[in-house]
Amino acid sequence: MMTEPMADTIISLKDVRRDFGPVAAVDGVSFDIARGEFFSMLGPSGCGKTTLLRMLAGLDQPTAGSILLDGQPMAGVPANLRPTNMVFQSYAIFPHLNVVENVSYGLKRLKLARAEEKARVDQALALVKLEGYEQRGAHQLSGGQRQRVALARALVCRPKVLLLDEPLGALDKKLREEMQVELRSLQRSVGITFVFVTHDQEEALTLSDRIAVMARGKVLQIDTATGLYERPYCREVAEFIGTMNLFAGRVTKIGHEISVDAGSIGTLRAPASEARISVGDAVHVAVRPEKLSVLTGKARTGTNVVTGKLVASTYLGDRSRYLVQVPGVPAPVSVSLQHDGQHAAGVALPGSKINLAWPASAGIVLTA
Amino acid sequence: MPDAMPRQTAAGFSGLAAGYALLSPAMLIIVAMLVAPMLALVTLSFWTQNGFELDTSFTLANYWALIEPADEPTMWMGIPFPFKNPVYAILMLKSLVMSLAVTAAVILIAYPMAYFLAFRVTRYKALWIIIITIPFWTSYLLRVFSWKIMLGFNGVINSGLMSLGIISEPLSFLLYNPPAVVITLTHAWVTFAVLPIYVSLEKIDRSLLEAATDLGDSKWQRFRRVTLPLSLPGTISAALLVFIPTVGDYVTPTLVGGPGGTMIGNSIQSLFLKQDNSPRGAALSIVMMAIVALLSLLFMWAVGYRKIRARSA
Repeated sequence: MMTEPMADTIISLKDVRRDFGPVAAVDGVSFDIARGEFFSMLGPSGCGKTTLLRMLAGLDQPTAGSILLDGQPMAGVPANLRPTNMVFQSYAIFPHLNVVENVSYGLKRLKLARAEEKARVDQALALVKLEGYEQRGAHQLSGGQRQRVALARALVCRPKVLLLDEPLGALDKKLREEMQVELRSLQRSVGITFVFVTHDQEEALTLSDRIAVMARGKVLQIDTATGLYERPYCREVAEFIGTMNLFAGRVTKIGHEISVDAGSIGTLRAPASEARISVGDAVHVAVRPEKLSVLTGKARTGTNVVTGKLVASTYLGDRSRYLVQVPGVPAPVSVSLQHDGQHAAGVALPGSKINLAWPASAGIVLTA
Repeated sequence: MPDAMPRQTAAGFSGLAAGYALLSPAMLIIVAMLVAPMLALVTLSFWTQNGFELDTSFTLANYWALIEPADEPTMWMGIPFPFKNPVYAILMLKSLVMSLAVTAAVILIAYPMAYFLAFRVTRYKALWIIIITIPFWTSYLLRVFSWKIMLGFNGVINSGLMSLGIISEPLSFLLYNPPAVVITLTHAWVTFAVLPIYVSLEKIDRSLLEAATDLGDSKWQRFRRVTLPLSLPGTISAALLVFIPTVGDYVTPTLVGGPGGTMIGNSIQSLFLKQDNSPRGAALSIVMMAIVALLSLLFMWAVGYRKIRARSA
């Protein structure tokens, strides 16, 4: 986990904890967010990500620990005086105000000259592509437009940090994908730090510079999308991000490679891990579906091979997905095969015996 | 709808017929209890009472009597009333002012109660609502009489103050005057006002309040800019719910108003029962209804009720 101070930190959390009665919604979380970063908090519902976001906004107070925002401790600073603004999951568009009145809501207390206020509102509306909707009432807006109003309303205040609580959750798939692209380019153009909460791993991977994967109030791993996918720290992260095949076993030898005795499958080899592992530990050898290939000839050295029975194959156009039942492995092994000429589509029939292979370097040893 | 009717036809009528069917009991009651008496009242107001006989020839004399000008205006509270029978106009104005005072007092008391109920009470909400409505388990007359006991010459307030040595003899200005009517009516109507205000406050999405805070509002600013405007529809209904019936009330002024606390309702009652001039009583009732309706519409127009409703929909 990242603990060393970053060059330009805007948010710094230290041992932040939030108890609701006997339940710790956020259980001792520490990390830093860099200025200008698009940072996501990803996890299933109830993992504490929204509580953490609300504590950044000042809408909730930590039971223990400290939050620094741009170097300033936030304890005792009420939400209305924090340099943060939030895009709410429900958008929270004021129903009695029109688009302009909604967007300029946070500017009123600044007592700007009328022309300047108008210029800032126009600029914000242009940013979210809502020109021409100024006089629309809140009830005349579609879900996507409401989302844009919520964004403009928050951005017009020029916060140091923009907090987004599952802002795309209520949109349909196509609109969501469009908004993802827009949100990312918007963040680049305004240069404001975005802290984004989502339970959608694809969304987090698409948008974020870095992602904190959370579960049960704790941060499991903070990394880039590639890092999370290629080098998950634990089984939970591995299974949450994409699909992961797991082979349980015990460590028999540690060298520049780790040997794992996986029972009936035989010995599997994987690259040395950063995690502390000693001989005899129960571990999982994890491998992504696309790292597996169907072995037709003889296995090369340095390759792990497992044998199983094809349960199902799905043709997906650019690739095929096989599910292979390997004796001794509880869940069917998932294989993703690219149709690049090497693998012809529909070669194997369900029920046929199949050998799967992957280079030792493609596997990961997970302790938990 | 008859049972013999084929299903398909019934489905063809669809929601409209079913809607009217559901409405019909209420419609029947409204026609029998409201529309018919109103028509009778309007008809009556164009007739003339001759002793025990009703002269059914059409006349506008009853209305004319209400506004017939006089050479010498009658002064009341420094306001000139240039009418031959100024008592009607005076009582009308007085009733409106007293009702407005009642309405204002009711809203000022009911709004904080509703606010408390909507935002502060998290558990046992139903119990709180029951507690608030407890006074309504007793009859209206009993509640009015209890105010006589409170405010009377030998009442709770006077004897309490006297036993504390604050006053040496009973205060006589507590009862039998307009303020006593306003106090009694206010108490009687507060609960009616709490419920619509409570409903409109309860409906407010809490994330709107958080959004207002997040955008820099203090608690007071947030109340003024979000909570109050969004609770206006309920507050306006509550105000009308109190204002409209209290203008015509005659029980309370009769019991606690004394000679100075009479309202327009007393005058109508007297015309119908004591003075045996029901046509003029009918005319006065209709004029009062028209004035109250006009004022209510004016009020709704002034606060932009339609706009508010359209937006909160």
